[in-house]
Amino acid sequence: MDKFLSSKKCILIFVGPAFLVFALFGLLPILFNVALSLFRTDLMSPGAYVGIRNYANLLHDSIFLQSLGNNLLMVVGSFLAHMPLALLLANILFSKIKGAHFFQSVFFLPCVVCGAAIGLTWTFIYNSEFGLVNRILEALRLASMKRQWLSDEGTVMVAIIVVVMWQFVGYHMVIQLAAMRNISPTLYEAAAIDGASGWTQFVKITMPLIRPILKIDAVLIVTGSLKYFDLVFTMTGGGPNHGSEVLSTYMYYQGFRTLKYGYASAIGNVLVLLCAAVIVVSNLLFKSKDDMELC
Amino acid sequence: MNKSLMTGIALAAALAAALPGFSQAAKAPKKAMTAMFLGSSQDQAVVNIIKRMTDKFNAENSYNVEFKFETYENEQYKTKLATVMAANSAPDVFFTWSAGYLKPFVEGGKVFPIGQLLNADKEWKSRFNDGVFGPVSYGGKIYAVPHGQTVAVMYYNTRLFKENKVAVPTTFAELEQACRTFKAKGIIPISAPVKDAWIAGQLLQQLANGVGGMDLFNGTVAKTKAWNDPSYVKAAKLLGELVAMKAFQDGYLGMTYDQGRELFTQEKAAMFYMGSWDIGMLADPKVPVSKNVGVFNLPASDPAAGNVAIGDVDQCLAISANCGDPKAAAAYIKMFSGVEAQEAYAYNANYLISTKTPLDKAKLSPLFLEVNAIQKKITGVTPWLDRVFGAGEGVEFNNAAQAVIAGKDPAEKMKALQQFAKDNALR
Repeated sequence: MDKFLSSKKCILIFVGPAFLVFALFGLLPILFNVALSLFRTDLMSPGAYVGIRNYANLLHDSIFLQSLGNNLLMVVGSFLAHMPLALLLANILFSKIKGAHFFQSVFFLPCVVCGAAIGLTWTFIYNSEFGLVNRILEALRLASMKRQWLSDEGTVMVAIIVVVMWQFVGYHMVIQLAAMRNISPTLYEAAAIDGASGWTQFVKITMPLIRPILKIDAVLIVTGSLKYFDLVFTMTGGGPNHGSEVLSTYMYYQGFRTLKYGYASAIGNVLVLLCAAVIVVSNLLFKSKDDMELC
Repeated sequence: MNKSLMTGIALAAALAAALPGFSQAAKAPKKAMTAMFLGSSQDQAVVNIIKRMTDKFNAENSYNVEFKFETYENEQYKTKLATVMAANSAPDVFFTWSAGYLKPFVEGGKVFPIGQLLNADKEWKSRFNDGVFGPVSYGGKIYAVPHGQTVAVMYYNTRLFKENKVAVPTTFAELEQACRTFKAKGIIPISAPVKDAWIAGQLLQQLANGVGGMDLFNGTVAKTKAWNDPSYVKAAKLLGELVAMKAFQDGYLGMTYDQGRELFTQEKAAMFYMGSWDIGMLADPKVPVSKNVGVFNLPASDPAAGNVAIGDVDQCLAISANCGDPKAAAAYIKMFSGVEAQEAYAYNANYLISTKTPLDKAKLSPLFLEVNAIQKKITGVTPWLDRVFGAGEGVEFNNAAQAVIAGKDPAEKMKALQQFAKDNALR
C-alpha cells in the first residue's frame, strides 16, 4: 500500500484534480492579471501596451498611497487585537475558568456572521444622530467627544479597525486556544511542582509550544488585513473622499467604476506581492528548526 | 380507381401531413430575449411601467420573441453592467445613463447604433422633443433612446417660508439671508445629506453654474477650463460659506439621501436641493409636506451666469451589440415612447417626459407642473458632471465637493481634483 501511495502516478491522480482546479481558478487568473496590468484597457476597446507605466503611476497616486497607508494601519490594529489580546483571552479560557466554553462561543460568534451584516450593524452603532456610540458618550457627559465617526476622514479608519478587531479576536483566540489544549498537562503539573508561577509557565511552556501555530496565525492576521474588503465596502464604500479606502476597495473602484482594468490589475498584483512578502518575512522572523515552512 | 381520385387522396394525405407541421410552426417556442433595468424600491412606479410594457410586448409582438427583464439597485447595476459588457454577455436591451457613462461601452463597440433604426422609422423619431438625443449621440450616431428628462431644483416648504416671512430667493444673497432667518428660528435651512458624495457634487455643480454659467461647463467639457479654474474655486468657497453659516442640518455629513429627504418631507427642513425624480415622493399625499412644496431654481451668485440648472435626459434604453435581433429589441424600446408608457411615466412615476405626448394637466400633480414651468424658464442645462465625465473625474468631483462641505480648503481640493484629472488620463 505504501509503495502504491508513494508512486508518482498515484500522487498525480490524487493531486491532479485539486491542482487543476487551483490552476484554473487561482494560478491562471493571477498570471492573466499580471499580463493585464501591462496594458491600459477597459476590456472593451483594444488595449494599449504600456509596460510598467501602471506601476509607475501607482507611486504618484495619492489615493493608492493613502489606501496602502490605511491597509498598514489595519495590519497594526489587527495584529494588536489578534495577537496579544487574543492570546490573553485564550490564556484566560485555557486556565479553565467557570463558563470557559460559554465565553469561547461568545467571543467566536462575530466571526461566523457575514461581513456585510456586521458592516450594516456597526453603521447604525456609529450613526452620528442615533448611534449607540454617541448616545453612550452623551450619557457619560462626554458630548464633546461625539463625532461623525464614519463621515469624518479623521475618524473613519479607526472606527473600522475597531470593528475588525472585535470581529476576529474570537477567531484567532480559538486557533491559539486549540494549540494550547494540545500541550500535555504533565508539563504544567511538573512546572507547578517546581514552583513556576503562571507567568513563567506561560512564557516557558505555552509560548514555545504554540509558536508554530502563532506563526501561521500571524500570517493569517496580516494577509487577512491586507485583503480586507467586505466590511469597508459595506460600511463606507471607501469614503468619505477615499478616507477609508483600502487596496481591495480601491482596486474594485478602479476596475468596476472607472473601467481601468489594467490599472486595477496593477493594484491587485501589488496586493499579491505584499501578501507574499508577509509570508517570507514571517518565515524569517519565526524561523526555528522544528517549524514548518509556509512556502 | 381513376387518376383524379388517386390525385385527390394524395393531396389530402399531403395536406394532412403538412397540417400538424403548420400548427407546430405556429406554436414554435418564442425566442428568449433579455433586458436589464435600473429599479430600486424607490422606483417602483418605473418598474411597474417596465413590467406592463414587457407583458404587452410579449403578448402581441410579431417577432415571436419573449422579453425577460431584471432590475438592479443603482450601485449593483453599475457593477453588473460593467462586468457583462467586459465579458461580452450583455443583455439585448439595457438601461443606461447618458454621456460619459455610455461612452466607454460605445467606444468598445458594445452598443448597437439604434439611430439607424430610429432614423428609418420617421413616426418613432418624430415622437421626441428636440435635442433629447444630443447626450446619447457619439460621433454623430445615436446609441440610446431617452424616455424621460430630469432637472435639479430647490424644493421649498411654502408653509415654512410664509410663516417666517421669507420670500422665494431670486439672488444668491437672498438665499443666504433666507438660510440665516431659518437658522435663527431653529429650522434647518437646507437639508443636504451628503454621505452620498454625488449630492455634495450636485450642490457644488449648481453653485458653479451660478458663477460661470454655460461657458464654464462648456469649457470644462472642452478641457479649456481646469477644475481649479477661479470659477470652480469661487463656487467651492460659496459652498464653504453655506457650511460656515450652518445652512445644513446637524450630522449632514453622515446622513443618507433617504434620511435627508425625510427631514424635508417631515417639514423639519425648509429647502431640499434634488432632482425632479423626487416629485413623486414629495407629492405623495402620505407625506406631511405634500401640500406645501414649491420649487425654484437655485439662484446664480453672478447674474451674468444666466438661469442655468442641472438637468439631463433620463430613462435611456440601448441595444447591445451582441443582440441577435436588433429589430425586435428596437420594437420593444419603441413601446416606451408610446402614449401609454409616456403617460404612465408622467402620471404614475412623475417623470418629465422626453416626447411630445400631450398630457392632461388634471392628472398631473401641481408640483410636476411647477417643475415643468421652471424647466421652461431655464436658459441652459448642464448634465450632472459625474455623468459627463464618468466614474473617474466625475466621481472625484463629487468627492472633492464632499471634502469641501466637510470643511476642507476649497482651493486646495479643486487643485487636487485637477491633478487627479491629469494623472487619471495616463492610467
